[in-house]
Amino acid sequence: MRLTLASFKRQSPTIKQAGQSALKRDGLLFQRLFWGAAAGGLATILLAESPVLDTMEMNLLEWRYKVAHEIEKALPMLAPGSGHMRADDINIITYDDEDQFDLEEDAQEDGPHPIQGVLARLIPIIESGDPLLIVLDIDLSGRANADLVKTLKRYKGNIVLALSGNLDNPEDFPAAELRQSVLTCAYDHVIKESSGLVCRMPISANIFLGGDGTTKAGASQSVGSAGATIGSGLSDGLGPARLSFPGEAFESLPEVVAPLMSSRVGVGPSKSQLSSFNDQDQLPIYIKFGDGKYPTLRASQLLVPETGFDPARFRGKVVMIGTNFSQKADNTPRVRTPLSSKVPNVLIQAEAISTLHNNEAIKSFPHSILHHLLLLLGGALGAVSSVLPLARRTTAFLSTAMVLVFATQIGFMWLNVHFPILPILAVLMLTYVFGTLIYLDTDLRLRNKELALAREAMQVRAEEERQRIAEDLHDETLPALSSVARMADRLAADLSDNPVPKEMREKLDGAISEMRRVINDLHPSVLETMGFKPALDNLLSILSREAKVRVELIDLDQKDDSEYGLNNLVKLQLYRIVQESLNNVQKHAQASEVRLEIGLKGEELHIIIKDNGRGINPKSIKPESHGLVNIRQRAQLIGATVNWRKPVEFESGTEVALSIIVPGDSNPTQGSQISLHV
Amino acid sequence: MSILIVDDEERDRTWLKNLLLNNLGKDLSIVEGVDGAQAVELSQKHKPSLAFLDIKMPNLSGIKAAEQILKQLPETGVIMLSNFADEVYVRQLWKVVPPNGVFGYVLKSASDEQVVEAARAVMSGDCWIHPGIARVIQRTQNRATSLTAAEYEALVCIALGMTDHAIAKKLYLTEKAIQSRLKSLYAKLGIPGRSEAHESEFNQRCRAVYLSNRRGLINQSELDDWESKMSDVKAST
Repeated sequence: MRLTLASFKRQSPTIKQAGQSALKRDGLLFQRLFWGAAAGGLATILLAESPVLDTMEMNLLEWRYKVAHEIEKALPMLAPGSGHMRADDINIITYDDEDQFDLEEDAQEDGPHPIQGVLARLIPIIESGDPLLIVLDIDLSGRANADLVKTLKRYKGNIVLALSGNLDNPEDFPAAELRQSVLTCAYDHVIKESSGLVCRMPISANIFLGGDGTTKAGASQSVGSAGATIGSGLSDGLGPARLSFPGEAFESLPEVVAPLMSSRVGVGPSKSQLSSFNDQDQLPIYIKFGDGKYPTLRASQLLVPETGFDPARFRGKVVMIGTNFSQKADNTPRVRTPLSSKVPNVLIQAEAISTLHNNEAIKSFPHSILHHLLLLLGGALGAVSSVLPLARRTTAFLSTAMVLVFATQIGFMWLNVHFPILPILAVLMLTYVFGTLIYLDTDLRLRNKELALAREAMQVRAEEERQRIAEDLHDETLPALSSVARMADRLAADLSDNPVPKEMREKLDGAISEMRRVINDLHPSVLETMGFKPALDNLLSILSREAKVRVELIDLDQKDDSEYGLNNLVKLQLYRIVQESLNNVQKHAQASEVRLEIGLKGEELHIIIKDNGRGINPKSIKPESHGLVNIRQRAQLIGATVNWRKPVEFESGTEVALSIIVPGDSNPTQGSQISLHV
Repeated sequence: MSILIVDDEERDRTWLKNLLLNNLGKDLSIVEGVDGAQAVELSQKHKPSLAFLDIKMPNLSGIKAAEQILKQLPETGVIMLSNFADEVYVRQLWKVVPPNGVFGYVLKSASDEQVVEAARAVMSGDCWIHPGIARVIQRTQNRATSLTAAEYEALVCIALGMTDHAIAKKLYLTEKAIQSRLKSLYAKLGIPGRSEAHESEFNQRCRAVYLSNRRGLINQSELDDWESKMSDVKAST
């Protein structure tokens, strides 16, 4: 008896859990790497070709640098004395009115915007006439400070006021209120560019060429001589053919940088927007910048005098106050920003635009290889990180991102280094997302598999246990009962007039047949001793005897069931399924005829149980009813499929169709295959 | 005369051996084996007239062993001695045993008398099936030849020696109904009817009892059971 058990064990898909799952995990690493790389590649294609990263790259300093360059380049010729203006002479005050680059505290609700406070602080400087020039990007969240406007108006002589809107989108103007305020400043000209507004002071007349007395004496003095030289200087430098100045004044900021424009080395609107400019003259101006570093002050430094606000600092210098350089919707050509910190982003943009402007193809791909590599890295990192437990992975990524952001912030605030963190954050994020997705995909699948295996192992163990109990009962209890019964026989013979021994015998017979039933329920030994088909036949005869049902076993292929090559576990489960189905027939179907067909069709063994009973009413099946669920689970365990339908032969009734792929004749080690099905 | 006893339980072998030695005479030579393969081997060697086989045995089940034994020695009287009361075994045995071969099927819970009776019956050329199973068997054999419950009842009654009249009274039926049952019983047992065989050699009743005894449909124990039941009924009425 024990031998059978042993062979059962050997054939059943025993799970060497630890070793096997470790092996699977190793295999998964390759899967992960593969998917990680694939995801990275896909993301590269999707993201690198989209303007998302470009837009993210646009940085708030761009505008300031741009204007700083503009002025730096334009002014040397105007500046007193010789040579170039030094970078030190231009001060940039950064301010961001959008949350994105949260460099300053938020505005109080209903209170004045902090930048307005900054500007208010600047008023005395402006009034003192010290600054050579103040260039303002004054899109202050759509609100103008009345005092400021007044001051600007009063000291318009040394101020260029720039209201930058979206360079390509005429809809994206500064707020109407602000525009109105600007107009009321009564500047001589408001040049309404389709790119926004550039209001400018009559610079030439008042500052550079000397002139009327609206400016303070100091200011006129400091620039007066420069102004006198400007006409000739420019003409000499750039040629009269290109530049013809009215003599006394530049008409606009564009005019200041007209040489650049005319030489067409500057930048222009994107190709798609070119058609919206009718006239060459109306083309907005872009400037090609050189490399350059400017001292940067934060607005908060102006707000808190103790920490370094020094009005003297601005004396005689260009002061630029920049708020956020508005993110252009899609006015930038697709530029892939290189991740080199040495090249200013602005330059790249300008170059790209220039390329466009000259109708050249964008040759930015080489620049972007790093991007691609980074994205691939993201995928790969994601794959590797998917090995980490979910919680630890999240922590790792969040803290890395936070450290990076913090470091960038520090670098930006204290070292004035702007590190392009966004692409790196994007890659980090991608890594995280990839990692999680890959984890979900592979690990959960693995878990499911393991769970299924565990359930199978449990089922196998339960069957083994049942078999053990059945065998114990069969080997120990039944013989004991039998021998007691025979003792009763002897007693009956000895005490022929006493009815008790005889009754004892009857009772014991009852107990024995009950015990046989129990043993059979625990483990159908018919299956082992007789084989599969006789066992099913036996089930049918029991049904016919107990339920008075006409039964028929239709053997379609007349093969001995050993030819199917099913292992013991599979046979047992199939047997149990048939048993359960017949039980259902007996309990619920009220059938008068049951037919069981069994046979091989191709690679599949089909077992079909048909009855002519009431049939299954889908509504009456409770979801928690064990019968059908059990059948399904058992079928799943051995990789069989089971279906319920109405039989063709009968008017009503149920047909349970069970099919399982049988291994080829040459495949005795079939247990492991079965476990793969699950 | 040699008897082969094959069982993987030593306890059962000893019991059976002692039982047979005590009841069938001391001159028996008893050969013992422990599994199906050994059963085949030993029967080839000793050519026993009687082989007691357990069904559930390692290596080869009793039924399979019986099949192989009977293939080579169809004369052997095979008696299955088993704990299983499933009729599928008996039917399988039926298939394995040659048409005029004999076999027995005894449950291990049988009384000593029943075992001895079975051994004697098989040795004398009758089949012997344990009472409870025999009753079950009638209905699950090949449908054309299997007896209905009513036919079986009639068979038992004539085996007990009852007249048509007595049977009718017993079963609360008309004599005519009894006769028609007997007629179908004879037909199933293959006994020619009175009309078709102009001069029948046999008395149909006795022939029916003889054949059913031979085929194991009824046996002494079975009839004893019925007898006691009938007398119980009689006593209670």
